[in-house]
Amino acid sequence: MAQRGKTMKLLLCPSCFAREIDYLLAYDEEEDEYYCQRCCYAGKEENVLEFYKVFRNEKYKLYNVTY
Amino acid sequence: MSKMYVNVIHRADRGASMLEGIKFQQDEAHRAGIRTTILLSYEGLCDPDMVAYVKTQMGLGDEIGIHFHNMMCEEMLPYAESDEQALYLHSFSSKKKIVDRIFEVFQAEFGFVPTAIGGYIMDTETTLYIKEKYPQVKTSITNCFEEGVKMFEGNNGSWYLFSDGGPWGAFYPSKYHYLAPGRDKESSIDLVALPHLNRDMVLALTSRDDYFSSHPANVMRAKANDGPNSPYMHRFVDQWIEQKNYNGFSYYNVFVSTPWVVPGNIFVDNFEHARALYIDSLQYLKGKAEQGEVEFVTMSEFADFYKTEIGAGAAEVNLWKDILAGTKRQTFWYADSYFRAAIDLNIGGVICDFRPYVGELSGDTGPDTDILWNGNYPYVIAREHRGHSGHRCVIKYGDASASIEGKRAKGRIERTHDGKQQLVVEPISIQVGDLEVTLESAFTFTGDGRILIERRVLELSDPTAEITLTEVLDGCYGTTVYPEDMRGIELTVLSHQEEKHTIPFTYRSKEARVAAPTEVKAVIPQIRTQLSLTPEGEADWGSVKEGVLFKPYYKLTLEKKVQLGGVLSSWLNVEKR
Repeated sequence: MAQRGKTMKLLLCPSCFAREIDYLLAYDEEEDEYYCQRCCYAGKEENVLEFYKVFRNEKYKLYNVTY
Repeated sequence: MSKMYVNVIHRADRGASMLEGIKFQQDEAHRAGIRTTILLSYEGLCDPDMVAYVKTQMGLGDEIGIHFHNMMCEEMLPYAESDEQALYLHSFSSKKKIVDRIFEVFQAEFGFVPTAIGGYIMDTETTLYIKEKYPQVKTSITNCFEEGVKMFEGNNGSWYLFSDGGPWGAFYPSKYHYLAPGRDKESSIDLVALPHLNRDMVLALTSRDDYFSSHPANVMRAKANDGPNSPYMHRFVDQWIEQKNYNGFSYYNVFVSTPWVVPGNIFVDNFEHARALYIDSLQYLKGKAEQGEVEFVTMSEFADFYKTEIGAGAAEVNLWKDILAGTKRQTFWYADSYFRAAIDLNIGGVICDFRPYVGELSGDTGPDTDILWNGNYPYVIAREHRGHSGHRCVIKYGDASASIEGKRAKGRIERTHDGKQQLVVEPISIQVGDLEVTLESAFTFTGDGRILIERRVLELSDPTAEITLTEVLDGCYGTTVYPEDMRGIELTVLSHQEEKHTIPFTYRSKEARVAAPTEVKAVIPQIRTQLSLTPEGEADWGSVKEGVLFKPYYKLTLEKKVQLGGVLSSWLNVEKR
């Protein structure tokens, strides 16, 4: 289960998500950095979003294809 | 000057390819000025070419011993009770026959009883039998640190090795469980247990630690290399060298079996890169030896050092930082004969894993045992397996509350004036409603089954504010990711006024709370363990609460109102029940 209320934005850890594990990233205000409390992922918001994009494009190749 | 003692260990298996591989490894070790320990498998002992080669290496000063992997083959079938490939999963009678056969062949070939042996798991009944029959044995590789459920899942359920919950370094094993250290000479087996490889002590909990170990080809398996280069591997060695500053010595072994340095290994995308990484690891260690930080020894030489200088029942600590992703993450570990504890500094200093050894459970595996394949030592806290478990501090101010978990912290190891190991969690600032609280935590390991936990309020944004500090332990027990039956557990809270409430665990969310508590405890008969929190000095309230099936944990709390400069001190205790 995702952990509620820790983050500035509700971003799932992309590294855990790649293993099909839902885990919300925590936010470190001093570093303006999101980080995972479960694994060793840390990154800016744009890094997280880019990770989702790569994952989606590489794994769900037909997700945006219309027939 | 304290040192990191390094064993370079090679396994000698059967066949021309294995012979070519071990020759490469031996030549490279010798080129780095290292005397190795060669452990022959039974298959290797049945290969005349391999035996002849190993004899030449013995002549060069390398140590020769036995490894119990790769023992199941046609030549072993007449002796074993099944074709089970893992020694530790045979029945005791079969284990004895296999052990005797291998020692017999070894002695016939080499003319002596080896003093160094090893396996992936060497359970207690096997080790006791070996020591009784072959008392010359000084040391054995007995376990694979933190290889358990995650590894099993990661390898598609193909590798039945469950060795989760033991120490990471050298220790004298107890006479009851191969992962639990003995308390003293009398309660220990007279043999130095060694780990199969050193592990990354952050990734051991957050990832598969067979990927991240003192085995450069395993690092390649994790794709944490760039062709023949892996700066991570250098940082890994450096981190292990640093541990000698906390313990007075450090132990490290490089144990790459030959299949990793010959063509055809499915996990190695380029065997020449695997060889280059192997050479690089040895040469890097050689450089550290030239700087005086590393000493190369054989397994038996290390056992002699450990017996003389360290002995049974010694505590060991480890403070490790994230050297792969480069985050702020740190993990602290402590192990002695009473328990093993891990503290996750990435979540403010929460006890994230706790294995009480006091219950003296058996860890013998095989078809004639109750636990069959499951050699894991039971936890009462294991956040990686059971996400809600943990021991943390919660701060309340008015209607607001916040846990230390929301802050990344940094830790340092200190010694108390009487020499006890201590983890100091550097101050963290936590917003609780409109109040900012700066809190310092310290964990002192007294070496008698207790941890003294101190929370000190260093700053308050409103210096006149009063806050409540609460120690919260959410516990369970188990060895895997699934909950066990909690019925039979009893939760008790006691007060100074001799008020006592006991809740048998029935999954009904019952709670008991008293003022001026003296003890809150959980008695877990399934693992013969009592876990308790007791205040050092005074606490205002104590409570126990049972969980429900959707949240199957027990909760123990102690709370105290404090102001600026105030301290909540409490003990986490484990006892046999």
